Amino acid sequence: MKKIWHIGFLDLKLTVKDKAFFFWMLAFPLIFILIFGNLFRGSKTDTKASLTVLNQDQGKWGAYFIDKLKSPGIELTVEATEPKEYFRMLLIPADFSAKIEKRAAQTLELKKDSDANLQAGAVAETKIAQAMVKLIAELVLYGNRDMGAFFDSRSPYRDLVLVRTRLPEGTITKVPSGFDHVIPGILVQFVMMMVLIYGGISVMEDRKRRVLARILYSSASFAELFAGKFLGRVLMGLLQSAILIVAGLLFFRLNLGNLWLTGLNILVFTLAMACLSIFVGSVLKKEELIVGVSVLTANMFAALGGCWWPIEIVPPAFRALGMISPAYWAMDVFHQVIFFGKGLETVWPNLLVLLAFTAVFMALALRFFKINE
Amino acid sequence: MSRTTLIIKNDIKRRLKAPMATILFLIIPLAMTALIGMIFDPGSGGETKLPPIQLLLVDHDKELASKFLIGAFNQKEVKDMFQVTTVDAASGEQLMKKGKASAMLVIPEHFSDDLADQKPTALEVVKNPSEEFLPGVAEEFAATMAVGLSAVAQVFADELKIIKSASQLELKDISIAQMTPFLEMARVKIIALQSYLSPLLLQLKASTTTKPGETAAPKGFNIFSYIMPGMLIMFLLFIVEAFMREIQNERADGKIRRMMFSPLSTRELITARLFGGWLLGVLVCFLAMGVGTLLFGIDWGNPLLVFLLVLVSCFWCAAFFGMLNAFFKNKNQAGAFASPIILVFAAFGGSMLPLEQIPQGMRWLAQFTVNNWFITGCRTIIDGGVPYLSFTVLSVSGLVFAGVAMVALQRRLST
Repeated sequence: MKKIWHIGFLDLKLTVKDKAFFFWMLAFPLIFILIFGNLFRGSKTDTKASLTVLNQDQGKWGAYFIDKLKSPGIELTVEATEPKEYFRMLLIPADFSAKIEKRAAQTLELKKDSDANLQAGAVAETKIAQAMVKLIAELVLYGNRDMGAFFDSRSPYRDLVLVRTRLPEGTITKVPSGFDHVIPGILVQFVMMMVLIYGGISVMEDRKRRVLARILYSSASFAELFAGKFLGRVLMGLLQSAILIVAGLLFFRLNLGNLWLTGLNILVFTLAMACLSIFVGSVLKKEELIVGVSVLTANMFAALGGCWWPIEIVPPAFRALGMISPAYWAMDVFHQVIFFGKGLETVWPNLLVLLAFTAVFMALALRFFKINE
Repeated sequence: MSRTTLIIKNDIKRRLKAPMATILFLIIPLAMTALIGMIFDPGSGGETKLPPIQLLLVDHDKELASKFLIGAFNQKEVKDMFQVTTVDAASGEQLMKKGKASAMLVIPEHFSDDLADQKPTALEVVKNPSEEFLPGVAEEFAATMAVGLSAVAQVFADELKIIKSASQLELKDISIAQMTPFLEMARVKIIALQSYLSPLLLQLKASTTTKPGETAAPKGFNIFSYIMPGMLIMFLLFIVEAFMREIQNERADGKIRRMMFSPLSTRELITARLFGGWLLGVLVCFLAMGVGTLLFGIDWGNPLLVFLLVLVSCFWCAAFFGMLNAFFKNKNQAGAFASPIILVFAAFGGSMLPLEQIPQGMRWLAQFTVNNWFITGCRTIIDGGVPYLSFTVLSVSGLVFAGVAMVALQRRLST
């Protein structure tokens, strides 16, 4: 056991000494977290469905309609002249009041900046539609009476039906932030990338430079050598995870749910990746090839497994296809533990699937692991 | 044949003899483009559709208003958007706890009665915490339905009261004569309502605007042509970088020193390396673009402009990595720093996700990346424009890098 630990720890030490270690393990994942965590926020001012209203109306109805637009989910700015910059702008034309008073149909124009936040845009459009319904309802209630007296004798629209939201009982109590969703995905992706690239290349280089053969001249057996290499890659994955978790807790107030289960999930996932990296490093003979295969594998697994985008927006066929990726099962455990507060009784099948992946990759690694070229 | 040409020919030949790495880096952008494109393919409508939202519905009311609300989910557009399953409260809560639906809409008890009495009431939306978008869509839909129901309840307040009291009577106790005035009142309102609803008094027309020099994605655009330039430039950088890193390998194993015993000058050697990297990039780029056209039906636009853009972009890549290799002390340092630089370029330059989705505070960084100029250049050409700015920035900065590379590499190779 001491020899296994020695070989494994030495591999980890060499990884940490690498010049690009800091970038790969911390800086690059943090860039990812910052970009993807803020992904659907166009800017600070666009998070709350900002809407600029260009009111050119000559009468009272334009201002009245703007009043109907006011709601908690929308940030209104009213302008008399067209501003140079806006995320989305609703044009209330000069003859808006005139047409309303004639009860003539009209179309309002909504201009959306192509760079603006799509989600906020959808909310703004919904709020405009709701304001239209409210105004039409008041007009219907008012009936055929003289429109000139509307503002004195109208029956104002009232929100009789409200909408309350909550999260399911027994799950989290705080609405998760973008970072709570993003960090587990980035963690899974970087564990895959780092373990596959670093782990694969070092197996290949140790073989090429006859380091593996020299280790066998010592009292270490083949089994101890293999186990040591395996342990080294597991330690790499755990170190990568620990760095991201600490950064997440410190900078993004990451919620991890049950820490033990989250840790177990990371460990089981890392076991699978450690075996895969030994297999890749054993089969391929060039650094460029290992980097290419690792990047392709990690990216494909990450995309299919729901690390890049929320799995719910993926078509069902691709969601089913995602099950071939170990990342899918690890991400599902993260969701169950972090968002639903589930325990081992719920996530054990996922962990079993990850262990099955480990068994397959381990068999491949053992079959192809070579001491010499 | 000049010595420079001989070296270029030899370098390309060597690459083609062991093409696996180059082929792999060619496959990756194509595979990524295929995967992302197929997942988010907008289809013929031009807009990416969300998969149906799994919505659980709990009806505690089971009266007129709840039936009206449930009926809304049978409308064609709404039916495409939501997959509704009616459940009881307990099993609904269990399913939500397991994350089996995006949201659960709960219609409260006495919902219809409260509306008839003009008393405020509330729909409840239970949201799946593990999902980021779909529960929000369900919530907004419920909010719009709430506004619609509030409006209907106020417009038909009198009629709802009658319906409520009539529902409490036996059929034999209701006479048509008693109902007639109320039916007539409702008829008048429906006629009045028609004048507002057909055609709709207020309608909304949304359009997308762009900044000067930019073009919005037209309807029916090819999503693959939107994704592939970003992927292509990212992996082109990897391919050219690996080629240029050979300088370090040859320095390390003494090949360059041996070459210098021949009449070859360092200037000729560096020129050959830069042209070799440039040529390899151009070949790979055209190959990838050809495969992109065959596999994804991408129309790259004016061939001459595409040719020019590929030329200046690949020249930039070769010059940039030539310059970097002049400053790296050995191949390990080159290997350690080049990949992170490429990935940072990709992250900020629009290869990993569309530039417009990058947080605004970070977008300015894009102008320092080749990825941004190549992607915007490709899009401009696809849209029928001429990417003057991309040509200028890439060729001028490429020439500067090539100049620095020439001077610095000469020094590095002579030591």
